[in-house]
Amino acid sequence: MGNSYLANPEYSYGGMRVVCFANEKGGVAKTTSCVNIAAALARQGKSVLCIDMDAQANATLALGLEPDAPETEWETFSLLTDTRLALERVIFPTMIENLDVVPADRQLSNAEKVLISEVGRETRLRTKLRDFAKSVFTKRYDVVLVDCPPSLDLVTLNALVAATDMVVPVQPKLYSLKGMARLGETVATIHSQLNVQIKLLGILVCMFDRTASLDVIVHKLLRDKISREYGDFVFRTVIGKSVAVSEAETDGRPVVLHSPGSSAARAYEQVAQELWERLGRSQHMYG
Amino acid sequence: MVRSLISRLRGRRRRVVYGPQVLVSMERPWEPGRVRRFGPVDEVLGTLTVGDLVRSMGQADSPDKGDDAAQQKLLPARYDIQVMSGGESEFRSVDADCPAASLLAEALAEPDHPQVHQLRIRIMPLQPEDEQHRTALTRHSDQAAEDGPGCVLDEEDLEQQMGVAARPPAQAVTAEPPQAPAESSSAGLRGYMRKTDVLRAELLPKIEALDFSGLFVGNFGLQARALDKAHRVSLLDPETANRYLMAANQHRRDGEYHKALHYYKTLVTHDPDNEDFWFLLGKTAADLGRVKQAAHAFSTAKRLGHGRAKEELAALRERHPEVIEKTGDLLSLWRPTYD
Repeated sequence: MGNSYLANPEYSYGGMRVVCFANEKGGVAKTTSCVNIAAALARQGKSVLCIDMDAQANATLALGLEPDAPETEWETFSLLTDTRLALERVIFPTMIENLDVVPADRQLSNAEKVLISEVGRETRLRTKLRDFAKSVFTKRYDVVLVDCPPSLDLVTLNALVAATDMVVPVQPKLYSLKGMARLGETVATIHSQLNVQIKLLGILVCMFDRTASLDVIVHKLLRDKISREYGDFVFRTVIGKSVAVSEAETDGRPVVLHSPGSSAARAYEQVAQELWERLGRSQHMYG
Repeated sequence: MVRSLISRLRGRRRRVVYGPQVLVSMERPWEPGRVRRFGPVDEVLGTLTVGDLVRSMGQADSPDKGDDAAQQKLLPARYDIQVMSGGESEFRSVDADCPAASLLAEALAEPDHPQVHQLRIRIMPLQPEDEQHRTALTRHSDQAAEDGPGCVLDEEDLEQQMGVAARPPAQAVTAEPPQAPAESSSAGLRGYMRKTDVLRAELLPKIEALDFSGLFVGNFGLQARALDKAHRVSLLDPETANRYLMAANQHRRDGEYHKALHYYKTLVTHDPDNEDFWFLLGKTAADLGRVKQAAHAFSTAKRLGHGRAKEELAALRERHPEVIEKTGDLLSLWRPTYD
């Protein structure tokens, strides 16, 4: 039995890992988690690229860029729709050392309409990342984090097809878990039809209210179910509700910069460490 | 003979109860429940309260005491009532003095109500700190008696009356979430555990029913596919192989080449020395435009002695000279992956 597509260098990025944060349910802290984990990894010395695929451009704002600023002429929308535009043309530095970003803007909401009739519409991002990784003139990143929109459209499909790993942020609420189940159906479909390599890296419980019995019970039941049926895929650290996160968003900075001593910042630092450990453990699967 | 039959029927008269019946079941979370049938509703439940039902079931003091129910002392408890009449209602908290018939009033008002109604009573013992809860129950039942029929108590109303304290400011959690609150008193823990037991019982089936397997297709998909393939191969006895071949040929005739290719791949895995399987695999791959795969299959069939494989390979070479010429003499050494 062959693992042809895993061994095929065409589908690898030269050791660079691409992690997408996806969940169909909105408001589960995908962007917050993506941005803060990216910042935490950068502070830990890793070279990180954050790609904002959400038309709301919250990740772009959180990293200090303006979505419609003239200096960010090209962004994710152009990256997906213009086949000639190289990835390195849309990478911009941020206020954080070792962290760069591919900004998004509101045009991304029209990407579905533009891409629907295009050839290879699901593989645009993967092609750009592959070419970027193969080039000898481009910067080397240890990990690429992709912030997906709260929908299962062509933009999200591009992220899922391009990614090597996936983190699913969830709230300990039933609707959020149902959204995760629906995401699983999409992942299974693209696995069979688009020959992708994405693997689940972990499930991150966010916006956890320790005073709510419901949150505690849902978290426990989810952890028990996942560990019993699939293994250790729920991150040990949970991200609790914190006003520091909201304040940091208002300030336009990740919480690990705005309030590095806060419990939320410490939690994201721990999650970043755990994510890096998980990436290292799964490295051998790629040969 | 007819007279003897009539006399037999008269001797076996059965008591017929008219009107809807009520089945009452009572349970405590840690004890098996008891069931008793009451009926008819109008005659029996017209004057009974929930406390009367509990006493008559012998659950008041000891589950073994069934006699002198009226003399039994009713322990302080909260009674959660569920009416199952054609469908299940939610559990509602009531007091011991609540008339049992009022619980069924809504169900009996339905024009097509079933003949058997079920009252499910869950007895939840109160704790000392629940004194406030009992007081609120009593106060609400008094108020409800003034307001009109019905004595059910919504959880929201109860919390409102108890004046649920504002929750402390939310704090980030950096470690494993606790399984119980920080209160040290065992009574508070029991009260907390009661609530969590109810929540867990409600949530467990909903969460267990969710299917997350799709998320793990990439993690375990290859293993599943390998196991599936091995399973298919192990099932290929000659009769099954023959069925697979017939199915594959039919798919090919219908133009469903992908399906046919799937069957031919299984067949060559099962019987790699069968030149016919390789030949058919080659034909199907060529129809799908998979030139390299077709060339390999025809080469293998030719090596195994298939009579027509050579000319098919030659025809393929004519149609796709650039592909065949690239591999040249090394074509026979090329091993494609069929995954």
